[in-house]
Amino acid sequence: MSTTDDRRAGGIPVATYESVQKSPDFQQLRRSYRGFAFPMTVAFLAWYMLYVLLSIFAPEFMATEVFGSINVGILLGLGQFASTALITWLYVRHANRSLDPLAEQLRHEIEEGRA
Amino acid sequence: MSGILAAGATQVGSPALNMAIFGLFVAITIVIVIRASKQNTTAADYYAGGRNFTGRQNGTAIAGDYLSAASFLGITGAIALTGYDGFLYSIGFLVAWLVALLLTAELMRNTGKFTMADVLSFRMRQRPVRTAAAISTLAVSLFYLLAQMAGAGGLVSLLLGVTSTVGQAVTIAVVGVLMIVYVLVGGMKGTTWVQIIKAVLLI
Repeated sequence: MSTTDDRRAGGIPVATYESVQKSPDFQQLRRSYRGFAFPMTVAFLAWYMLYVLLSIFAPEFMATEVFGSINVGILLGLGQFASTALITWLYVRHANRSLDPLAEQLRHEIEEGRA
Repeated sequence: MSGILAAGATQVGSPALNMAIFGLFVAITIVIVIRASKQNTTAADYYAGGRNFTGRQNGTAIAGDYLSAASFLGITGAIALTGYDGFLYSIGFLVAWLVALLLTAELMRNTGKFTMADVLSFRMRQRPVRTAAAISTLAVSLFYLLAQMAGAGGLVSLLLGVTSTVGQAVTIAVVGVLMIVYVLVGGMKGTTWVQIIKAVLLI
């Protein structure tokens, strides 16, 4: 069971959390995370909604055959698979390049400051 | 888990052979789970596999998780029966994964907590938040498991040649108890290994 003291994991004083929270590095980390995650979430939800709404309200358009028996609906559906894979790849790249190094650095600073 | 045996399910073969394969598979996975449980000493070991799984291992385990009876049998069936509508339905599962990836995964890990209730009650009053989290977890799991267990039970009944209603209910209950044992005994480490094995076998 967690008590309020568990928040100070590893015996790091609350004051450290507060100063880290205010530090430019932490703010930069947070901006960097949100700057990627929030617009990307809006984008993929909009892209998904477009696909679902087109399927509901524009079935004739979705049934347009592109080649053979492959129609627009199938292509847009497969496009959702492609976009999901692409977003995952972009996220991993973003985390490796921008988030993880900064988070590691902050962690070292906090842990060494305590010692 | 029983999904692996589904590949050529129109010809069910002999129940005795199926029973033996099923029993062998259960025995092997139980041994793996018990071995994994011996290394579980801290909460992080139990809930997060000691945070020692690599990205590739976890990815395979998540793939195994997604290839559950509900998606493996359900989506295939939905596409077979309703065509394009089934295809559209299956895409919801896929896209919803991005919500977990972008909005919750990293933040949840950063809290250092393990369960949904831990995270939600982190900054709030414990009891009401935990109660709400438990109720919603149970409600979602109940309806999800109804479909899951019906699929698993149906398959096991087919493969083991159990036809009576009572026999099928017993089979479903036994499969359910087995799954609970896997998770309770093995924790995240055991569960992840079972999912990795399942994903490899299925693919």
